Amino acid sequence: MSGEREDILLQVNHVRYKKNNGQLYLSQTRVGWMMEESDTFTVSVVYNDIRTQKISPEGKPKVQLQIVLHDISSHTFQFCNPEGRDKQVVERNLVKERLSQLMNQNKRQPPDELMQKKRMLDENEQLQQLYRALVPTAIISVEEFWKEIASQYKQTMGPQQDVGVSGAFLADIKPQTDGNNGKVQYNLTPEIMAAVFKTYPTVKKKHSDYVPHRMSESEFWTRFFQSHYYSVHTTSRSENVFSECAKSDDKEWNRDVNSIQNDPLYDLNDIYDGERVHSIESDLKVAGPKAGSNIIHATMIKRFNQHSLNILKAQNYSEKEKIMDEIAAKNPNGIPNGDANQEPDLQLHKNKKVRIEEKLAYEDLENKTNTEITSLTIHQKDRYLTGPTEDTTTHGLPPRQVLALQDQLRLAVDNWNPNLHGSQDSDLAYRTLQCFSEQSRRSRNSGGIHGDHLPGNLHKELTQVYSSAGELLRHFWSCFPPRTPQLQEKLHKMHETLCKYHTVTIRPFHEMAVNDYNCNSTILDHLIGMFSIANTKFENWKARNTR
Amino acid sequence: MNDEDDPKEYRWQSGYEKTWEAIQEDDSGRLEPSVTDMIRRAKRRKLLDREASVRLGIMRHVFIILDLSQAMAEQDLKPTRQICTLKILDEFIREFHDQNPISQLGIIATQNKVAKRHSDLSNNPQRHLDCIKRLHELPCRGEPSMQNSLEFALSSLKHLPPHTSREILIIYAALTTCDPGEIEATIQKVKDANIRVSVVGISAELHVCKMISKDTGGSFSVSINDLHLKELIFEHLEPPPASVKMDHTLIKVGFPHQVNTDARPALCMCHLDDLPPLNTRGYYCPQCTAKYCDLPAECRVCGLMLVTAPHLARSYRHLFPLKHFEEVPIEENQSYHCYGCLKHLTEAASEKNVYICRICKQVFCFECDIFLHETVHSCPGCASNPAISQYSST
Repeated sequence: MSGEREDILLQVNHVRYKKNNGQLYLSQTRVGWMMEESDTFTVSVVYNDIRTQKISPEGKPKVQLQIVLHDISSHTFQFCNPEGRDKQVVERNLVKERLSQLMNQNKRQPPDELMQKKRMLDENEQLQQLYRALVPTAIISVEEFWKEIASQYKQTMGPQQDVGVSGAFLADIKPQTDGNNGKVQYNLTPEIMAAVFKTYPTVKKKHSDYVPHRMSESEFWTRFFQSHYYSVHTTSRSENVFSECAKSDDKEWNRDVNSIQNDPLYDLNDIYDGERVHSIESDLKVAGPKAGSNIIHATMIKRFNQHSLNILKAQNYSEKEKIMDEIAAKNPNGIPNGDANQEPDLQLHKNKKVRIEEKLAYEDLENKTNTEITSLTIHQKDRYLTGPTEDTTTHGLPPRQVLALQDQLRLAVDNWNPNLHGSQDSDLAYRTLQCFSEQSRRSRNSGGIHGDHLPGNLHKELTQVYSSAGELLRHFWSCFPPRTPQLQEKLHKMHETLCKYHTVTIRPFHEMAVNDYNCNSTILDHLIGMFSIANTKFENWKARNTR
Repeated sequence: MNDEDDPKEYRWQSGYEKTWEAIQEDDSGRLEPSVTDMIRRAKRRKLLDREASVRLGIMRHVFIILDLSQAMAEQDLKPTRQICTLKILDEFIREFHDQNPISQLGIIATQNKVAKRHSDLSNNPQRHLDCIKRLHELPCRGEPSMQNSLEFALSSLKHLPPHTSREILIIYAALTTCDPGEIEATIQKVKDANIRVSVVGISAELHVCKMISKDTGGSFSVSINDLHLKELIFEHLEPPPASVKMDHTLIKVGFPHQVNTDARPALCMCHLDDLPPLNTRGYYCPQCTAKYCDLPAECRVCGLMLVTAPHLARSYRHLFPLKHFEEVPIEENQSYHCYGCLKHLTEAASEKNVYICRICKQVFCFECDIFLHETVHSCPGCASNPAISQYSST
């Protein structure tokens, strides 16, 4: 630990852990606790391992902070600053905030690879079977398994899907009134809560601050619905929670409105009643039509506009966040740049002509333009209609001969009598019929144990052997034609793997089948045949290559 | 009523739309011919539009994106939009695999702002038909997400070889889409991957659908009623013209024999999950001898495409399409019967024109003309005439 240069972001003295005094340190990547007289960290936890942190409730005499890890173990720290309980509480809150910040920062790393692999194995039983068949017997190493076979399954799982925010999500929370008491019931689902957090980041912050120790979830949400976000009149009982939000929202709104650029094509002046002076800045600050002198209506409309703008921003926020994450991941110590996308004013003027033209022309009304299509020309039409024939030239017969042949044929057909006795030997005919009839063919082929009546267990194991062998063979065949040196290397490796598989799995299976189940030894013939074909192909390629 | 007198009234001002005036009785007093006549005339016009000698993308990989949002529970198509669409898709899938034997189909459904793949890309129609049956039970709710469904389809179609034709068919009934990000970015990605997106709308024309289909070279139409919806969806049975960016390469194809006298009993690779029987019934891949029950299939072991010759021959009608017949008024016609159905061609019949094949000069009636061009794809006059149908080079 001493060898690494880690910046200590926060240090708190007088922290007790397991009845020992010491100091708590927060650095960029981990949190650690060191005992008073030692210089090694007794406790050192990386932020990724922390699942959550908890603090002791307000009334308790001890001021404590608990860190819960992913594997359920936990560490409890007690703040015992001799200056008094208040100082302890202050210190603890400081630590808690910093810790949650750092946890969030570090959590944006890609999800744990192990968890993902586990999820894939759980979801695909086939994959699990393949894993069990191939890896423990050392036919394929673990990394190779995940790299090659599992990548095929990863593709089929589809991309991670984010959920957008519906425009009407607040309106869809239809509250139900209880007729008697005047109580109103709101149905909140986790999706609605997530949508609220996405749209209003200030509310999210308040939530993480207040819940669960200062007020319960239900109280928080009750206050939310009573606040200006949801109802027109704020019941001003104790609305200090969200009134700060209101102030910051207003500030943000003014900032956004001022950043609307002067675009002559979107002239908003028409929606205002009455005469207006042409100075645009001061008028836009109102950002809403003056509905007479009714201030409530104006406020309500302003709130609707704010809501819509926040929803739109929530959409772009996730894209920007991803870009910011990538930048932050590349240089963790650097300060992120300012806003990457600034729209210069002159871009507007340049595109003005283009935009006016766009508005004037309607595609539907113009003449139909043909899309570019590639034309097909067929040479040698005959080759499509007849198969490849040998190049024999047929000699034409002179017409007299054709007529004579026709007459001969007609005569022969008229005078033909069937000769039943001279057609076939009856024994021979019977044997031929037997040969061609399917049933007899089937009984000849399967011999001892009929294919359709394999004992259950053997059948299952046979299918598993087939599927794992098929997977390996698939990788083998995908190496052909081996154009790059990597493919050639892979080809060699796959060939070795196949040989190993043959000796390790197939031979014992064959012996087991013959001994235990007493069935025909031809059961695995087909599979062995597939292996030998693959082997031949490999040998041929090797012979050709080393020539 | 003064509505009738004033022809300059706007549509919404007229009292009732007198649709019955469009239909007229024919001479024998029957209504049906005039209705079917209109339908057939429309079909014939469409056939004329299609040009010959165009390179088509015959190996198609098509994803159907079905919108199962709240809007599909509307009852303007009986019994609900969802059930009506699923029934049409059932027939579509059967026809698709019939007419495009070497193509693959997949089904994605979107509801509740996410997309879910219900059926993977495969050329086995049974799997898709089972999936459609399951979708009958799924309740419609939430809002659809076009971006999520496009991303989903994109993640599968991206990895296909470039010589195939990649298509997406979206059946959309909602009027909104709820997306987590910018849909323009997704559309750009789709365009770069050379995918052709077509949309069939059920409720109204949406700008985003129009933009997607225009940018990627697909078609966009909105259906009026259920018959029209069926027609619009069935338009996508035909292979689309190949885009200029599509590669043309030689593809290795295997033709397995059905009867293998020296075949060894094996398990089939297509049903390994369900304990297949060990026998010799099936087709063996010529390259690696893996067994498959049904063709066409793609060999899971060596990646070879396995088809039979009739499957490929089905696409010949695109290479050698039947040329259009000449339309001639019935007065100038000399023969008395239609060559295809032996119907009497007199002026008393409701036919106004007869159709003459340019090569063999046989005469066909209107119904035979449609039938030959849509279903048979060859002219019986030319086929039964030995002078025309010989292709030998002697």
